[in-house]
Amino acid sequence: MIRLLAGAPGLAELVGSPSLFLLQVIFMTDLTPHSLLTRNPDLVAAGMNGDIVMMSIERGLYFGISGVGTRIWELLEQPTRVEALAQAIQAEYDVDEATCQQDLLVFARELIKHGVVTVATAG
Amino acid sequence: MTATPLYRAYQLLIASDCPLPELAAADASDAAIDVRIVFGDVGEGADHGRRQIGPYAWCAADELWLDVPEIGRFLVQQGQRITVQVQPGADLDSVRLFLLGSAFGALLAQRGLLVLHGNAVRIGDQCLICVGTSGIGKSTLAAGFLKRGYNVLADDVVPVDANCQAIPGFARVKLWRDSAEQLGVDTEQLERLRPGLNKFSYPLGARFESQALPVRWVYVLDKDILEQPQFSPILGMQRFLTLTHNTYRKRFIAGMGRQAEHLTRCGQLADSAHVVQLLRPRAGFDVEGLIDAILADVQQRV
Repeated sequence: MIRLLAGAPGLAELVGSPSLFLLQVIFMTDLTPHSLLTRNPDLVAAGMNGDIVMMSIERGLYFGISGVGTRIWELLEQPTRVEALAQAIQAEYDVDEATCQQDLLVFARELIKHGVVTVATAG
Repeated sequence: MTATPLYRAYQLLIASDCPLPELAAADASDAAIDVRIVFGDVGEGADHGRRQIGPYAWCAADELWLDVPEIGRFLVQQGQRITVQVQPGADLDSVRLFLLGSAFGALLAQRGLLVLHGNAVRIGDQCLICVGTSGIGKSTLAAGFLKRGYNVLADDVVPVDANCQAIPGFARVKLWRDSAEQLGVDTEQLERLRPGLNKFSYPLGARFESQALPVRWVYVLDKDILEQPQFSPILGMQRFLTLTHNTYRKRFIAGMGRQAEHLTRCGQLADSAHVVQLLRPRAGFDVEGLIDAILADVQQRV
């Protein structure tokens, strides 16, 4: 759902080993259904023929989001809790609660890992 | 004070100390001058806190300093001014080639346009842009369209505005000798772009399209081992990579701090135009067959 698009403009590159970095993130990030996700305001995003491409000017990196990820990005226009995202996605897509929650946590960790969103667990 | 010659290109009124015979001369009018091209000292690349982005290029926000060894140095500022420092012994044809190429490409980007490396051809009331790496056959294809009576808006440097319209450049295409021959043009009658170069300036005359037109199709020309031309749509985020890859002098964009705007412009174009990879057969170059195939494809993607 998310791809690291380019280190420098014009270079397509996929994240080398998703499973490996995900492991790191799981240990790094204390992410729960209550976590509040907030878009990183320093990112610039643009719709791209149904997908979304965003860039970190600071880091010179581009990210692409596709599929359900684009809907999640839209929902994150306001800071939103993971559980609220899960409810919204469940209402709109044919997916059971457990799978939705699970996929959403995986996706949220990717967003956090790349600095696309920040997380606050308190509250 | 003698009046500086005025020209019109890219919908801009340009006052230039450097004669630009390929551009349309403009009458002195009340219209404000958009761009001034002056001869002068451009200083050093590192001046004014500029950062080096390549062996011969330095950038700051809305500023490009470019050195073309043995030809000249160019300072492009705020989308409004190009200072040209001609190197001793350089010929003005070569200077103009880089002025109208790299320097103008940077100027148009500074004015907020998405500048693609390719050419734009009028199809109905819209246009197609053909992009691709140098030498892949873009100008030969443009020549083929001209031969069939189609109009060309811009060659080599194609600016696209926020409404996804291609902006007309000026009335010439750059043709290699073999492309000119395909067009049935005697290169003896044409001016060389630079002394010793087998690439010629072909004046478009009435075949120049002076209207800005909506971009409906972007074809990315490449070649492969094939019998027939092959068309495959490029979708979603891949369109961004394609448009970025075919952005004119894309290294300038980051250097001049315009990536965010570039991303926005690419998104607008990706949403309003078809972006299609066009593979032509590697063996030979059947221009007529390729144009037939493109025109058929255009009909399918309205």
